[in-house]
Amino acid sequence: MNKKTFLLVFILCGLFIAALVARNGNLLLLAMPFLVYLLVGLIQAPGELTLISERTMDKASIVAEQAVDARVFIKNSGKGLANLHLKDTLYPSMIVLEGQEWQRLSLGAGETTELNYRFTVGRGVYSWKSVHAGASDPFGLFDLEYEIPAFGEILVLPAPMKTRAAMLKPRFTLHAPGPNPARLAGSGTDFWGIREYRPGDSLRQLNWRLKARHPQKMFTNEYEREEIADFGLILDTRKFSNADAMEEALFEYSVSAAASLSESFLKNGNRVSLLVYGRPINTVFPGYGKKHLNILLRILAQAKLGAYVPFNYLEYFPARLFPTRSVIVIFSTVHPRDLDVYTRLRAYGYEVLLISPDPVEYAARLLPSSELNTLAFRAARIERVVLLKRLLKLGVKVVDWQINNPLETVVHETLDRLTERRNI
Amino acid sequence: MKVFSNLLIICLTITIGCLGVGYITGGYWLILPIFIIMLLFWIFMKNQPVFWPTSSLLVVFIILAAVGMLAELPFMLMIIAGTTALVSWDLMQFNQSMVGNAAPKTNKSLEKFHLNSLALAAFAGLTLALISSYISLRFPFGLIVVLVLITVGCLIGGVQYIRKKS
Repeated sequence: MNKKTFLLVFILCGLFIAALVARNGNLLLLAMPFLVYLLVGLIQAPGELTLISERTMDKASIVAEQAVDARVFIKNSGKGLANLHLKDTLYPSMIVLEGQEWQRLSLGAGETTELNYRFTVGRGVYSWKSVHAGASDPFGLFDLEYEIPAFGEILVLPAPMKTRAAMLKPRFTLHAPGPNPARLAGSGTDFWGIREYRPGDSLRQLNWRLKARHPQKMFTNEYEREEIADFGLILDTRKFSNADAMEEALFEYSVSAAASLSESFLKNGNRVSLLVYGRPINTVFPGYGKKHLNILLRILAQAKLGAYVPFNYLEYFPARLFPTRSVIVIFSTVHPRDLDVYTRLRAYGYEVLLISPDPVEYAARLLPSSELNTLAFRAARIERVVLLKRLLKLGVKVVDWQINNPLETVVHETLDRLTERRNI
Repeated sequence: MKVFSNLLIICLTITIGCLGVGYITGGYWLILPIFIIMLLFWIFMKNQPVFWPTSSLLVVFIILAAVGMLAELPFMLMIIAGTTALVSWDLMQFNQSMVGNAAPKTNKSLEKFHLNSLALAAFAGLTLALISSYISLRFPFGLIVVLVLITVGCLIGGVQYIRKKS
């Protein structure tokens, strides 16, 4: 039953009543074609829908903005349908590039059809449970609406960034072979030092030059041990302002950086944990390997900006999430109120690296230049620099990331600069 | 779709022609400004969703045909105008629903099915109306009221039943 049927019934009732009021039987003749039209529709209206559908995607997971082909196969296992309307669900961020997600057709008994379309979509996990099918008579007067089960899911991962885990050199490592220099002598590739020969030392490691200078003694070269480390990632999903579009854009960069770094850490054999901090909160306890990487990427793909939650709640998280002396990498645009938490993290012995996409620089590029804006940006920049310097004094390694620069270069330069400063 | 467009134009022309001829032969020249107003209304409503302009056009045509019947203009012309107005309305709705359809292969069978059903409904309706015009039954007014009430009641009841069912 739809508005077309209502209109026809309204016209019919109007004609009947007009004929009665005017006592003119001829008016009823005018109603005859409408009555027959309704009757023909009613006779041909579908009794029930017996459709079977199956959905296939050409990829189970893609990177954001990559195109994917969707195919929904539909078979009519019941009676023939004169007027069938099929429509697949489109999520708001989906853009159809080719084909169409809907179709109107007449489908005979046992016949099949397909909805084929190619689309791009933003980061996230998208799932479909059904396809909408509406069958009606040829005039579209009497509808039957159904949701035909057709399950499908696609994981859209954050856009990848070029990063290397090796650029981070954790101070504390776990005693298992890995890629991070452990500041201990052992089996490795980087030269560490020389000690006196002990029985059992490999002859390959003997330092022959030193032996030539001191013929009475023998010396062995030592190499730096390489071990795995604990990395904890904290992705800050709290909204700090009402500038939604700007925060969303910067947040996307943070998510991409977090995904790329976690992939890089895990590929090197490290142990990685994740905390998506905001509303809602998501946690992934430390783990290794490909399966763990899939879990992390899935959580990151679903991360969305949410309401503001004080950073102090971080204290109440179980210590198992971030083992002591692990490296905590925080992706946040930073808020002055968070300073206490950074202090506490440092006090607990964590090595903290803050990767902070610069909102001031980003806004300055977007907004029109005027005298007022220039002053405002200058004030905001000063405020940010002061905040970051206070963090630096706490021993937090701060990467002030202007997002038009590649993350790898920025992190590399910042860490080099910090090392030089420490050496001085 | 070209067949549908041509058919639509033909049906609209027949509707306007029948109404125009009927009214003008009856000496009601006032029909001409109404057609002009309808044309202006049509142009004005072009950007609106298609259902409301076409439906209001159908209602106006039916009112004109009914008024023509009451004014004792040739009833044949009025019935034909009413039937072709219904066909035009249906074709406009169908054309709109097919815009951008993804399956050009299956379009043909759908169009054919629709056209057959429409032809059947229009022809049967028109024939029934013409046959009914030769049958003259005289009932007391009270009985007619009861019959109309029963018919309207059945119609509304039927609609509600279908609505519940769907």
